[in-house]
Amino acid sequence: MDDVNIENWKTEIRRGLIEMCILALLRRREMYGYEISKTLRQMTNGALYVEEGTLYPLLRRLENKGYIKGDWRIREGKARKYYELRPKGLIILKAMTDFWFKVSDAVYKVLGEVDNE
Amino acid sequence: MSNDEREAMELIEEYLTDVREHLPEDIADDVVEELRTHIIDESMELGGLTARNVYKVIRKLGDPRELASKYVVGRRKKVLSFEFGISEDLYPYFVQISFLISILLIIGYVIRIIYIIARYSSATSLIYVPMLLAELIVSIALTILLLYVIMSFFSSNPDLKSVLQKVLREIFGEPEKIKRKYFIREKKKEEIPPKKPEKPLEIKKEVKQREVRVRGVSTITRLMILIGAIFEISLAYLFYISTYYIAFNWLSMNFIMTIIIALVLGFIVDVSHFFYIGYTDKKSYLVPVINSLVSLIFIPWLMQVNIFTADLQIPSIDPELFRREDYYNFLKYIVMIPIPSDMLLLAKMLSLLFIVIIVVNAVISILKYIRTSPKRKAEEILLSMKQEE
Repeated sequence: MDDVNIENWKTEIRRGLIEMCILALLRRREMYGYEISKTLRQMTNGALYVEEGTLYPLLRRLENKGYIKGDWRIREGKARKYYELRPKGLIILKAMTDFWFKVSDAVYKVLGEVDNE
Repeated sequence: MSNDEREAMELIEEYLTDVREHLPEDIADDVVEELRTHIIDESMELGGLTARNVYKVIRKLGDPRELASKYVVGRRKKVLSFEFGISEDLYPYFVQISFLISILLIIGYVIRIIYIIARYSSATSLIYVPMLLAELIVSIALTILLLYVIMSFFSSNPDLKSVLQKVLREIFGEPEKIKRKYFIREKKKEEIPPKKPEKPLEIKKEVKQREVRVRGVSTITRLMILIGAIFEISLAYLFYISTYYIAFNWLSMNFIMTIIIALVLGFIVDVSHFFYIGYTDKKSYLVPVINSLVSLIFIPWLMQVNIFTADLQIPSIDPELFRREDYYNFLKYIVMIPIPSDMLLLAKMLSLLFIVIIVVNAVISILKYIRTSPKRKAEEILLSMKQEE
């Protein structure tokens, strides 16, 4: 696999995970876009860092799908668009995490067997 | 507000205006506002609201057109989209290819001209050389136009764009960065030693944010629209006056009448737009559609040109009158001469090409408007929600 293909592969994997992680973050509390970006970067040591140019359109898509809801609120004297998880998003998050744990277990198993050979 | 902060705000506004241009109307306000708060927030974290910091944040957000395209990616996924304008990544290649094609065409035509001069008598070559030069200009213009349309098409579709980019990079190598407005501004900034970042008070930030929100369409844009309208009506008047001094045949007269109607309509649209902006503080998305529909009135004349090409006239300067130095009325110098028979085919082709361009442009602008209209968007969301449920 050359450099270009590995990058594509990483992007594909990351794309799905970022969606799941954003929903998981919003399950804890409501956040605004830049806050989501910073939290993701800090919590994952940059492994799941998402450029803001990708994050904001992604938030819009999640909002359009009805998974999250964005509202303009003034906090600490600043107007920002805060996102919160909606019931539909919670259902999706549950389905995503279930699948993720199942798959990651399986992948670990496979990788472990490969390493042992 | 310091000069640096003002410059930073201007940079933000310029960027957001570019993003807005490519966004669907119904989401534009919300998206732009969210991006604005983000740019201000991140710039503040970088050490203050300066043009330098704003530029860094904007660079991270990426090309305005690409950023906007990510917001509509779901809707455009299945259909190939088209929008005029070449993306920043492809633009250097467009310039390079246009230049190469122009050089090749010029070399080709120079060879043809030398051949004609060598082969025919001087009198004959005198007629052919200007014609060949005109043909050369038309060829270059049409080729560049075609290239522009093709590259706009690739720019409008991210997947196709990356394929073309790879191919062009293989052929031409890494392009030299084109210094567009954001980059020129940044370069200027870099020459000045960076100031010690000062962190303004929260209240100060609030004032800035409010100032930016109040600002909609700039006065210069409004003024440009008004100047455009005045120019159109003046030109219409000039065309009207010309009918008294120049001997037009029926076909040319039809053209004059068509262009006068188009310019007057353009004037009405621009003046209405001027007042519309005054009342609402935002540009109307309907104006490009109306303008493209107005251009449809040229089609009957272009069809006449295609059928009765021999009746086409070309404006020329009368050397006799010019020698008399009668500067009282320059329209008197202009005489209409019949089109040379050698150019009939070229005129026929050009008339057809213009018909195609006008129709395609009208269709694209209507489709674009329908796709971005709020009603349509609401229907799409309802439909997708129903499908998901």
